[in-house]
Amino acid sequence: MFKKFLCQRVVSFRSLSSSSRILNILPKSSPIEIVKQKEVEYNPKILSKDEVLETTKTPFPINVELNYYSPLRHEKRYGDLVAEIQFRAFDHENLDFLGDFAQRAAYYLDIPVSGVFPLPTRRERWTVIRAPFVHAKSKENFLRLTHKRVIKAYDATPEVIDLWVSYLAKHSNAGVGIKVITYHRESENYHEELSKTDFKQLVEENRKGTSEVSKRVQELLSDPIFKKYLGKDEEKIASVKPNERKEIKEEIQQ
Amino acid sequence: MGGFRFPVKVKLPSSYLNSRIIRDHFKRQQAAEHEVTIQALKYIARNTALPAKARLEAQLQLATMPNYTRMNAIKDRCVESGHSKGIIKAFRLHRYQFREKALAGELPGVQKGSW
Repeated sequence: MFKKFLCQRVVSFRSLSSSSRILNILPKSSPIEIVKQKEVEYNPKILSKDEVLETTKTPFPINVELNYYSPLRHEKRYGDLVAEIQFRAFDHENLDFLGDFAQRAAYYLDIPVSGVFPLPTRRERWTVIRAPFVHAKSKENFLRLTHKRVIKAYDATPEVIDLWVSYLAKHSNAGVGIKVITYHRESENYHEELSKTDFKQLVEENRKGTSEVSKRVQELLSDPIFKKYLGKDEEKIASVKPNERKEIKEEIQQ
Repeated sequence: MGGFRFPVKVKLPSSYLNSRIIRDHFKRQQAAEHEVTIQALKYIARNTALPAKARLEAQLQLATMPNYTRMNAIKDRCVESGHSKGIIKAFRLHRYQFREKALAGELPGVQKGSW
């Protein structure tokens, strides 16, 4: 129904077929600014079907008109991949809609994005026995298809990507999952910074008493039932962290 | 299973209920409660840096843990019927309950397969 209507619209506005022409018509500053600068008299009114806008020669404002065309996209400036956004759903209608929506949102946020690419569909299949009991020869097959689409975003700052993603999450369709992969670039000297850090110490610090099990081990070993079996050396072992024990044991043997 | 006891109070699951489901749920709660202790005792028992007597003590304590505290006593059960066999893990359902629900359209995305 909607598609049919869409075709009719496009045919009737054939004069507006190229997107570059639409771009030329778009005002450079935002409508609010224009009103503030009093370039245009602020006089809102409802347009009837017969009335036609001077700029677009149609009864719709240009941004509404754009919904009848495929989404506009910015050119890549540097080709620096900053994020990939993935949509997943069990049916493709919602996915197509959200992919289109994401592209339009990216256009207004000034993010250059790729088109919507399909990823391989995940197929899960189950074969079950029809009957609740025995009759194992009669079976029934079920399947579930998970459709995936991906959009790549380029040349934008993390803040803008965050804004885009939260906007998509806010207006997402029911039954569509969103997954975002963001890419972060390090400086050229990053390997030098890496070589300076002491990873062994980092790991030790992370482990330090954080695990509940290691806490419980300390607790148990300080219990008199266990303590009576521990010699002086072993008490020394028991008083330190589990992962250091082996080294201390070696020291004691020497 | 006739001699099953509930030495502590059990929280009931929100799924379908029968005695076997309640038993399983009880085991899950007990296992979760004693998990840290069991892991710590296992760590002591297997640590070759500690004296043999301390390790033996840990083994004895492990052997005398309360009943129904072991992870391997837990079994996945159908949340709709309580069956223990023929469970489809992705849905936590018995194969027959899975089929009924799938045909009723209650499992999102699951459709009759034909390929």
